[in-house]
Order: sequence, then structure tokens, then C-alpha cells
Amino acid sequence: MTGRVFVVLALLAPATAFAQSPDRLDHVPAAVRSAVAPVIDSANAGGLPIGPLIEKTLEGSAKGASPEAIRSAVRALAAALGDARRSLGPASTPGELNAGAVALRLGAPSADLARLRAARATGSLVVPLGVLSDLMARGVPADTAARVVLALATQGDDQYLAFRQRVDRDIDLGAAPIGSAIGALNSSGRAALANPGKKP
Amino acid sequence: MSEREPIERIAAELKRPVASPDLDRRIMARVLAEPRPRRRAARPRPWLGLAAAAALGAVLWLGRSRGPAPVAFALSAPRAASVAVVGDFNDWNPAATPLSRSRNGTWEARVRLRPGQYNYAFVIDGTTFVADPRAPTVSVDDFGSPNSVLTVAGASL
Repeated sequence: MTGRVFVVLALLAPATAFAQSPDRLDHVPAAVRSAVAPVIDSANAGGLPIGPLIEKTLEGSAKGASPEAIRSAVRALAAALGDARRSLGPASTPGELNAGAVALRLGAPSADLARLRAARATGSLVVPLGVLSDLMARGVPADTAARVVLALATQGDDQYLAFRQRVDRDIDLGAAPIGSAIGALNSSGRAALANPGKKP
Repeated sequence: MSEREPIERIAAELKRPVASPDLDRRIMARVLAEPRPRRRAARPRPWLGLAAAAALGAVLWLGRSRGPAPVAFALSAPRAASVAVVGDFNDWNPAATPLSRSRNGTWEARVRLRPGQYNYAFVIDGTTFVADPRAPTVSVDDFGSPNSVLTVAGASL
């Protein structure tokens, strides 16, 4: 009888995010686990990917941050993931939400993420969002970076790769970031016209 | 005598053809008498290209397979005793991916990563976290030491 009661209770108990991936946080101090558990469980209940939150916890623990600092960082990332889902849509993959969260935290306008989704409805946004973040990190203003990434939305990932390599090369040669981005976009546009078969 | 005369004389002398008919022969004899420099056999090292690619920044590796792709990390740290790369791909564990030191003080490691976006940093001597100096630092700095971000492109994104 006791056994039956236990089984029923176990089935009724809600599965927490920690229960789903316990071993990844095994080496994290108990104080850190306690600090982040409510945030991760809340994100999990809301349907957000918890992988990035666990990784942020592991990063903070490896860097010796306090439990409070780690909880604050995990909470900020969870909020960004939620913002990314609102901008990119509920069908977005965990990878897209993670890349979107990084772009948003770097200052990308959320409306531009939504425009990118609309312009590239069938292809993954991980690479375009990665390029967007790279451009902003390189010093291209957020609105210009978003406009440039949007302009390439109908192209494939390899066009984004070529575009980013051109920007890197021009900046390394001393060009201003914004001029490099626009110049590389013009080159990419010519390449796309010459090779229209590439799709996302 | 004008001021230009000496200059013109020197220029005319320099323009005069060399009269010695055996000059070429003497030069070649001297060159052939010199010991030949030993040539080093060039060993192909394909991973150097990957290391250079990683060092160029947050690498966008373009692949068509769904499986892991080789990615090389490199850091120049001639005075370091140890260097490791930590990131989302190895649970930020400094013991998971140590880099090997090459002769010129560059540390290198090669790992296979599935398509996706990864935060990463280098750990020098087990204590100092640094972002990839040749990659744009695109990660938000939450803990006082910034990260770099690597995007591995592929069919399964």
C-alpha cells in the first residue's frame, strides 16, 4: 500500500528543470543551486529553453561569482530569452532564442528581430543573429547593423558568412565599422545578383 | 663651373656601361662558390588554417552536416604556464579542454562542436579569464570578465 501511494505521489510531482538536467549542476556550490533554482524552474514552466540559463550558472560559478550575482545574471538572461521569444515568435528554436537574447542584450532593437523573422520565415535565424551581434560588437551602430542583416535576409547562411568576412577584413585594414558594413553589403548584393539560386 | 656640373659628371659615370666583358662569369663563379643554404622540409599542417580561422573571430563555420564540426582555438600567451578554453560546450570546466603549447608561444586546441552559438573564454594559469583577443567580444559581461561568442553554422540550426 505504501508503495502504491509513493508511485502516485511521484507521478503527480511536477518535474522541475533541475530534475531534468541534474548532473550538469552537480559541481556547482549548493548556495548557487539554491539561488538559481527558482529562476530556472520559472523559465522552464514558461516554456523557455533552460540550457542557456544552466550555462550562465556554470559560467558564473567557474568565475567565482557570488550566488546573488549569478542569480541576477541568470534572471537577466531569462528575461532576454522571453523578449527574444516575443520578437521572434513562439515557434522559434532554442538556438534562435539564445542568439536573439544575445543580440537584444547588446542593444539590437526588438522590432528588427521581428522584421528579420518575417523576412526569413522558413530559414534559421541563428547565423543572421550571430552576425548582427558581431557587427554591433565590432562597433557598427545597432540600427545600421540590423538594417544590413535584414537586407541579406533572403540569402543563405554562406552569404552571411562571406559578408561577415568582408566586414572583418575591411575593419582590420583600417576602415570605419559602419563604412565596412555598408561596403560589404554592396559587395554581397552584387554577389547575390550574380548567384540568385542561394536560399536560406 | 656651374653647380650642376659635378652632379652631371657623376650621373654620366653611373650611366656608362660596364666595360668588363667577363663580369657575368665572375659573378656567377662567386655565387656558385657560396655554400647552399639548407632547405627545411615543409610539413603540411592543416590545423594551422583552422587555428587562424578561430583566431580571426567568432568563427562562422559553414557546414552542411548535422554532426559536430572541427573548430580550433588559439591564443598567444608565451609566458603562460597553462591555458584552457571554457565555454557553453564544456560546462565552463577548465579541466575539460586544455590547450597545447606550440614552439612560438601560441596555445592551441581543437574541438568538435555541434551547430549553435557558444559563449567562450580562455583561462590562463587556471585563474585569469580572458576573451579571445582576436574575436569581437559580443557577450554581455555579467561577471567582470567578458566572453567571446562562437557561432557554428550547419544544417541543424
